[in-house]
Amino acid sequence: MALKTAKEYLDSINKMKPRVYCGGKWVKNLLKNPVTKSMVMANSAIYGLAEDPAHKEVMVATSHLTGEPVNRNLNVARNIHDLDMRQEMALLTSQTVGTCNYRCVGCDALNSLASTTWEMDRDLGTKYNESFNKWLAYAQANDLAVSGAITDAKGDRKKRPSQQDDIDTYVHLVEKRDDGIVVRGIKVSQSGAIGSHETLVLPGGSLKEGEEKFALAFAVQNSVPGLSYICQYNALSAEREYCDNEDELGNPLYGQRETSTMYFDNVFIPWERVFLCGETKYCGKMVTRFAKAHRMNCGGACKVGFADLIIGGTMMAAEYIGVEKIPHIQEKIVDMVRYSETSHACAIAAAMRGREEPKGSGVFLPDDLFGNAAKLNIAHGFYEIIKNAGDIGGGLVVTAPRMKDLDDPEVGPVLKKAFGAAAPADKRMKVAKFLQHWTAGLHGVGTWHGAGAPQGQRFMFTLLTDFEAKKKMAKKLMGMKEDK
Amino acid sequence: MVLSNKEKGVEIIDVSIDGKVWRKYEGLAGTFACFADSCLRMKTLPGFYRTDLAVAGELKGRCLRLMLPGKRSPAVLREILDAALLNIVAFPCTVGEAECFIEVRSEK
Repeated sequence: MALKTAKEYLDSINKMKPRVYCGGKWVKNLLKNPVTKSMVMANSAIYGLAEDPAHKEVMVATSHLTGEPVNRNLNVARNIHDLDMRQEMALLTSQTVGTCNYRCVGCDALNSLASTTWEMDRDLGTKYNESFNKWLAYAQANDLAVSGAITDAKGDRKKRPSQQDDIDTYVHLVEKRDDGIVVRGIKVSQSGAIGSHETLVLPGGSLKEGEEKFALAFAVQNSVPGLSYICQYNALSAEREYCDNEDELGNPLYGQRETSTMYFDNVFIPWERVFLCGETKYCGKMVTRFAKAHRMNCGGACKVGFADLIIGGTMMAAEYIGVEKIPHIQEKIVDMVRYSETSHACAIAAAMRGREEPKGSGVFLPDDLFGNAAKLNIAHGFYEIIKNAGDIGGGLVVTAPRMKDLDDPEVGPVLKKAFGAAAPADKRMKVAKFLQHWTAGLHGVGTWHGAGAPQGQRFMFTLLTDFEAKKKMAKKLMGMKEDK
Repeated sequence: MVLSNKEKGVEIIDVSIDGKVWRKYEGLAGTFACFADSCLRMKTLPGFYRTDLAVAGELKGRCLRLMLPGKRSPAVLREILDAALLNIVAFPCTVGEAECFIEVRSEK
């Protein structure tokens, strides 16, 4: 089997029993808990996209290892076209599910691993790339849902990992054995591991000599003993868990964005699944390469797909109250498109200016500067987009009663009178719930921090921009002589 | 060209229930070590962590002998083993020579 159908994915996940805690209880079946089910259904829809001939170019790639068709979420980019299709996949999946493609972080992690393990084998004579390729071929052959875990809990930020009072705040090595390693520690804000078959774990950042025990990259099966997941839980989770009709919710099928805290309690990882162990020098490269891929995809395409949905909903809200032709409304909607498409343009540029890294590896990564520009631009732009959506959508976005109240014999007629405008009350309220999901939900902060907070992109700008060359150009045009 | 299991990086595991060979599973190389660690160190099966299914077992070379608590029929043992192996991302297969063996019995 090279490509799983959505149904095959659901069947396989139905048999998986990861140890998941959500909202005060342990979840025995992911598909029977409304909160965890939304995550699994979103992943299932992503599998479904690969079945659709209309999306084949975007969703299906050719494995460089076997020559077989594989889901693009498991593909290593080997050229510019692959990079371009990768960012188009991020756009398409977001437009389709209105939440995470939960295979996205895994995809960017595996591209970083393909590049960095190749470099390590070349420089150090290790066999990590060989192991990684075997793991990848197996994942591709079985079309596994692979998520990624990068961010450690980190504890006191003033202290290095080994100085923490509790070093479990970083995933670290406990024991090296002949057959593998034992690891423990915590990764946080992890998207979609609960409904995946495996997770790729990368170091959370650069590490120094002496911090070898934190320098780890590996693939772990998601139901392996010792591994537990504590799901995020918030007002939207509670609303989903306790509502009697999911149609009430802003994103009925696929929900908000589901993440969890992953706790590794002395988990065994066989050597065949270990892709870095102790080589601190390569941790920074591994994370940076992940970030440059993820900033193109998460910043310049995924969030643009969200913006497309928000813009669509906002246009409907305007039409339903009859203000769609008012100039300032049109101007605000144009601004929303401007923020969004500028980021997408940066993602396309990042793909088009992508290059092989390192030379000889055959792995293509996006251009760093444009990828960072995509992410930084949308981090700010997304708040402008949801601000305008709230502005145009009006107070109803956060004041609407339950949809079900429209059917109540006593209050229903009042609500229909109150909220009927250029469209009936039910349509207005439905759009209001949809916009509430975006403007009063998790996606503002999620967009800000996803793929790294903007300070990280600003730092990369200072690193990647040749300011001296710009000064030189200006001086030349001004006729100013170079300083001696 | 047909690649060997080693070249493909996979391993085939033969599973016997109550002394009878039942089914082969294919997993990434290291799957058997992972399964054995789960049973011997963590005293549980993959997918059954911190449930009441504590297992006892011994490893002799590449053969893992397991005893599951409670009187369980072969059909139930098969169901449990299938879930455990799927939870460690190993899948049923029909071809390939096994290099690892799991023998499962229920408490008498």
